[in-house]
Amino acid sequence: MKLNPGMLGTATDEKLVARALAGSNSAWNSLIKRYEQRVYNYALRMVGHPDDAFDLMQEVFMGVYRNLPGFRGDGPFPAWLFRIASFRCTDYLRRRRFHTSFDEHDTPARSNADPQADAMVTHANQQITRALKELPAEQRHVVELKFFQNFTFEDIAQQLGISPNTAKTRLYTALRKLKQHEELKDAL
Amino acid sequence: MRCDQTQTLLFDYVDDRLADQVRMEVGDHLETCSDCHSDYQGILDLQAQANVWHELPVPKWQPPAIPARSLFGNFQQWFPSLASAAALLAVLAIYVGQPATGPAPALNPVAETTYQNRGVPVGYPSSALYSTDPELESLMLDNRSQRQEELQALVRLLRLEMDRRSEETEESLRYVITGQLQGQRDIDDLYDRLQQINYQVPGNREQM
Repeated sequence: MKLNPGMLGTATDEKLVARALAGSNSAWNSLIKRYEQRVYNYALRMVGHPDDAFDLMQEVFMGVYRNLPGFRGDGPFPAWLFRIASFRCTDYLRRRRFHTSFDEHDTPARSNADPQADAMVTHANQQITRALKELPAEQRHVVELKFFQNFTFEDIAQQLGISPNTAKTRLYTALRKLKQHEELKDAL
Repeated sequence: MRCDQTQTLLFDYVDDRLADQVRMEVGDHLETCSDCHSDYQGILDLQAQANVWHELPVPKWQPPAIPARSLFGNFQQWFPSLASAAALLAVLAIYVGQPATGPAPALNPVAETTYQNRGVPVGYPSSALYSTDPELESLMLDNRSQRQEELQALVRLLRLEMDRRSEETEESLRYVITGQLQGQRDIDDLYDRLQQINYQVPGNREQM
C-alpha cells in the first residue's frame, strides 16, 4: 500500500501549501524537502547532466514559489508541480541541448561508503539516461511522466497540453525507438 | 480483436484497468499476434527499466525563502477591490453632497404640500429648515432616507453591472485560450500522424 503523508501524521501537501501561503517558511521548506529529490532526478533524466539538472530543479522551485498563490487545490499537488516542471523543462531544453556528459567524471556519486555500489548505480543510471537521450524531448517527456512518475494519460495530457491519444501515440513511438536501443537491453 | 484496438488498450491492460471481458480479449490477441506482443513486452521492459533507476541525492542548496508578509504584498492583492470601492464612494459622496438644484427630487405628497404651505420653494436647500420645525425636520429625514434607499439601489445596480462585465471578460478570455489550445492539439495530432506514416515534415513541431 502506498503511504500518503497524511497517513503518517505528517502534514498533507495541501496543508503545507496553505501554511506556506500564510508566510510559514518551515512549511515551504518541508514542501521542498518532500519533492526536491523527485524533481532533481526527473531533471537529471530529462536534461542528462547533473549541473543542468540542478539548475533546472531550482528553476522549477522558483516557478512553484511564484505560482503558489495560484494553486487552487483542485487536483493533487504533484500533478500541479510536474506541470510547472514540464513547462520549465521544455523551456530549458529549447535554450540548451541535451548534454551527453552525464557519463563522464562529473557524474554525482551516490555515497562515499561503498565505491563499488556507487559504480553500479552510476552505470545503471548512465544506461537509462543514454537510452532516453535517443528520444526527442516531447517523447522523453511522456516516457518520464508515464513510467518514472506514474501519471495517468489524462494527467500527462493535461500537463503537456496535448490530448491523451497524442500522449499514447508519442509513447508508442518512443517505445519502438527504445526497443531497438542496445542500452535499454543492457539496463535490464 | 484487431491490432489497432489492442494497441489502444495495451497500456490499460498493463495497468490492469480493463474490465474482465476486454482484458481476456486483449490477452487472447497478444497470444496470437507477435507485433502486439512485442509492443506489450516493450512496455514491460520500460517499466522494469524505470525501476532500475537509482534516485540520486540533491546537492546542497538554498531554497528561496518565503518573504515576510508585508503590507505592500497584501496591498497588491486587494488594491483592485479597494480602488473600485473608493471610486464608488467618491461618486456617492459627490452625489450626496451636491446641493439640490433644478426641479426637486420626487417627494412624498405630504412633504410637498408642507413645503408649499410654508412658502418654501420646491428645491430650496433644506438645511435652513432643520431645527426650526420638528414636523418639517421629520419630513426632511424621511426625504433623506428615501434618497439613501435610492443610492443603495444605485450601488446594487453598479455592483451587478461590474460583476456582469467581469464574467463577460473572463468568458471571452476563456474562449480565446481554449481555441488556441485546441488548435495546438490539432497541430500536434497532425504532426504525430504524419510522423507515423514517415512523412517528412519540413521544419520541426514548433514551426508548424
